[in-house]
Amino acid sequence: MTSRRASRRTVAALAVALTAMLAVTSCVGPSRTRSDFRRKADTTVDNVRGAVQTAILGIQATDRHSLQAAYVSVLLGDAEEDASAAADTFAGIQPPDERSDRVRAVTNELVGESVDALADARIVARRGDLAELTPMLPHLRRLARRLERLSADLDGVGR
Amino acid sequence: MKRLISVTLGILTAIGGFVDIGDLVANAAVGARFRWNLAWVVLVGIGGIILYTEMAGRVATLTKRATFDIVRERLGPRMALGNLVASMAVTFLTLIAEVAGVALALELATSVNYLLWIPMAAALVWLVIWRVRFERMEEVFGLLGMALVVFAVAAWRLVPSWGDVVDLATHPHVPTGEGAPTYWYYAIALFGAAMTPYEVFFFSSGAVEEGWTHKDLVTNRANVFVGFPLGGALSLAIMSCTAMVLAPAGIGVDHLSQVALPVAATLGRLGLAVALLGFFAATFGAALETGLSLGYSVAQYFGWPWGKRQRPVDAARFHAVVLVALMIAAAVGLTSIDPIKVTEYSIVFSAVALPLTYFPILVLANDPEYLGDQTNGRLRNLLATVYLVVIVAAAVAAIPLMIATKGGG
Amino acid sequence: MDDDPGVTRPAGLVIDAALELLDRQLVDSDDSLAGKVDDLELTPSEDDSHVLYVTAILSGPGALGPRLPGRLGRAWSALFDRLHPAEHPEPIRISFGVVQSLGPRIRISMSRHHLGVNSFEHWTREHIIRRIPGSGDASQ
Repeated sequence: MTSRRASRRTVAALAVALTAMLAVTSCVGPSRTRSDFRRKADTTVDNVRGAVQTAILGIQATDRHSLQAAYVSVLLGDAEEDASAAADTFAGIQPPDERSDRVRAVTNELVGESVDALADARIVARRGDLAELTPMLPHLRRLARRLERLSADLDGVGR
Repeated sequence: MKRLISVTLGILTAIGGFVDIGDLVANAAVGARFRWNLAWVVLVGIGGIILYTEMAGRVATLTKRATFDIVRERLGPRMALGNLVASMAVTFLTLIAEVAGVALALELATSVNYLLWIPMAAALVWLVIWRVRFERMEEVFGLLGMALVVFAVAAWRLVPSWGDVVDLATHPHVPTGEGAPTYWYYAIALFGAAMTPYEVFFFSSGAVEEGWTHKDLVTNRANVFVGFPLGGALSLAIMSCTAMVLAPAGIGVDHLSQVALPVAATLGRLGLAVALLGFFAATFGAALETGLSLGYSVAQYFGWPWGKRQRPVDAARFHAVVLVALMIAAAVGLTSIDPIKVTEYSIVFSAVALPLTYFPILVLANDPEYLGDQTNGRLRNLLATVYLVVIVAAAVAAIPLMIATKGGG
Repeated sequence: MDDDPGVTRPAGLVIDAALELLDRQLVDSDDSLAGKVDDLELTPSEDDSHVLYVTAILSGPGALGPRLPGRLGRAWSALFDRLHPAEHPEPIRISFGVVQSLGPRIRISMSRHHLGVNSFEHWTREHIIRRIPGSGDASQ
């Protein structure tokens, strides 16, 4: 009787541990060190840059080949969704100290601008005004360059 | 002539039916992130699935019985039950991903949100299983799946020098900026996508459904030895497209829309339309196969009547399993769980379940009671055993790597 | 498992029941699949010879429970008891007298519709499958 209860407890403990481990695979925890916070900022910037690049490639392709509006609107919608999710996740992370506040501010500002630009593109595409997308390219390209520079700064040796 | 047509049809069906949502996502994601540094995994995976599918097909053709049917009497009810539960869990996860994949393909073509498509996708899959003849079902979706050849066309246009690609692929390394654990995690995911367990159950049950005899062994071999490598080539084409277009731009694959982007950018409107047709056919065909596989495996374990050849009233439990499975798969999809994440989990857990799936096949293929003098030769056994070791290694490493890399992040 | 002399049709046959009988597919008189040999009913002989005879084949979920080990087996049997409509549910019992031939498939000489109360198949057929149009046609 005792051994069965003990083995049941072991199984329960293992189940809890496994569930916890699996949950961890998709968790973002708080940041405890300055460099860890920079790394999270860098990941966010990378994700947003990927989304912006997707939009750029999509708009270029639409311009050259006049792609189907349905596809373009989904592509841009997905890009906006990705950037927005990355931005939200990062905004929710507690910066560990006041110096990290600056990293937070710079990242949030650029990321926020990018999300806005992607939203604008998505809105235009959903309306079917594909011709209106091409003029957005220069702005998106500038954002992409700025995101790349910020990522390089964050990657570099800690200030 | 008729023979040639039938063989060609079989091969085309095998090519078109090879790729499912797991392959689409895995090959595209790996190409975008690792370029050709994991191409070797696809080749290894193809070798494995060819080897084991041929064995399962041989067993099914000569015994006129499918895998789960025989596994239980050979390995006992307890081990076969463990096998059944594990296989069903993974196949069910795959079914959820495939149904969501169909919905995503429809979203890309219509811009109507994929969640609204899920119930219809599941209902359509069920309807085809209910009404359409097995051979017709296989032919139609296999041939439509050939639309994915558009990725090969795009790759041909994009790659400046295939010699360079071969050079890169044969000298794989972990790219700078990526860690070894992430590299191996994606290797396992790609491996699981190539060697999907349900493929083998479906193939062996299909052989029984279609009433294959000794004479069909040759067709079986042609489908497997010609069709599968070409199907694998399609996977590599998808990988090449994203390696050429998405990787330089630093874009990772998180959505099905991104998988089509290289084709859209290279081949324009028509190429995109064909690619979307290919997405639909691949995921729909795979949803049919996974749904049926769930029914096959349960029915074969318990000895219930099964198969589309029966009137549904004569195989009520089999059809009930398929119906309930599709309903639950749709319900899970409707919780708006990320389909790409589900796909990733399904291929990683497929890798975990691989030993359970493949080991019994190797046992059966060596059993003279079932195969007479057509059991495995020594070379085949050697190859199969080597693969089994690789499969076990991948299965053991899969979950720890998933945790260590936080799901490949 | 012990070596048991078969009492009926393949009379006097001594077989290794574990290998030749258990978990084999049952095929009925219509050539339809009729479940598996999930368990065997063994009856000791009347005399002092300590011989066990296989008197029946037990089939169905109720029969499989006792063959699964430990807690799994007990849970299985408990679930079967709970779901079965009858008061004291019994597994489907097929007297060995109707066994026509042994082999890769065990052939029995009656239709599966007469095999005790095949409740799960019956319930599924009547409550789910028959309600859907087209259930009477094979999709061939």
